Amino acid sequence: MRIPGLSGSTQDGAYFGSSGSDAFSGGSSTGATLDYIQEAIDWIGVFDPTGIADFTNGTLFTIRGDYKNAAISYAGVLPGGDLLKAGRLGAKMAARASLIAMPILVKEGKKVYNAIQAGRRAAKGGTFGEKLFLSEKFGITSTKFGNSAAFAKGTLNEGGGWFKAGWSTGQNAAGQWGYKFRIGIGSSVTNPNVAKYHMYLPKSFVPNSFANPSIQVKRSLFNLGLKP
Amino acid sequence: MEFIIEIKEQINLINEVLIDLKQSLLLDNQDFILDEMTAERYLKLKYISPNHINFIITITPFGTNIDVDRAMEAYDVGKEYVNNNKTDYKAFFLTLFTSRIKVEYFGSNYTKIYFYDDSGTCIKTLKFVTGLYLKIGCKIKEYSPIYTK
Repeated sequence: MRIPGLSGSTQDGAYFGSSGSDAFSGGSSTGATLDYIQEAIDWIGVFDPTGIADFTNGTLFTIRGDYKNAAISYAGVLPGGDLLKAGRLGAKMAARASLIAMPILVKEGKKVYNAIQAGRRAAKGGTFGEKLFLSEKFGITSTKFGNSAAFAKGTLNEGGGWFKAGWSTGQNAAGQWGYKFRIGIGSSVTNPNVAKYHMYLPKSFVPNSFANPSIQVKRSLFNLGLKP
Repeated sequence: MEFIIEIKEQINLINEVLIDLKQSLLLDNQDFILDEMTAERYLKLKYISPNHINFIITITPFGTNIDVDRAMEAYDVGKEYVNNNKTDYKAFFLTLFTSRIKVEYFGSNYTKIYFYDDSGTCIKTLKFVTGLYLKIGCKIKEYSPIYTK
């Protein structure tokens, strides 16, 4: 019989949720509750000298049609029979521990993944902006486009003419501060160093989190008397 | 921190303006935040206030550069210019510190900054254009002077 609005195992199957011999389990909440109760009885059976707990569990497994587990529980009535239950209880404990450990593993895994990605990016030379920023010809310390932050003012970055190009500070669309490759055209009469029109090279933005440590390295080289 | 002489000379000129306005000297002034990248050869100071115009002063051996609001390099002068035009250099800072300022924005590519004196006369403008823009949807911000004369 199919009842409109109901689906899955509740249709056609047994009253408790699933078809087959295990009428109590198969994903229904009643089955899950019974699982917990039986696990608790299992633990009681380990310490129960009378064997009543193991016998009860064996009977419940028999009713549920799980004859293998029923046999293990019945064996628990006998001296030393609890050893057979160790595997069953151990497996359940391991499953429970993995549920707790999973989110921690996922979180740590993400960190490792991000570190690997950052490493790969660094190995490749980073984004277009980062590559440009560190390049010898067009970078922050280049003779033509350098910025005074790295103790190297580029000849084209000084202004005073109709064309000005080089690294300057600026923000990206998200308001994050960093460096951008700026091109200036035209010259102001009152302040010749200021270009009339500015444009920024697309994708050239480098955030301060990347730029500042790089600049510090360049400065250290400068202080050592080496060309950054 | 001990700055090199080229930077000290420029700091001293700004200090003269601040002294005239009866304010603390530039490096002792609590209104200015020292940037972490500051070094002997590079001084960067930020002025950030919700009620006043925000700006960044960068002083290097090559000269002085000031980013005012969204206008990057709104004022950029070389060291030679500073040496030869000390009065003009000081006058710019006096204008920046004591003017009522209006900023006009058209989209993200156009910024114009107006400086007004006490009488309400516009004494200086700075325009910053970074691309194509349409003169529609103007947004205006007004700021009171940072210091009074």
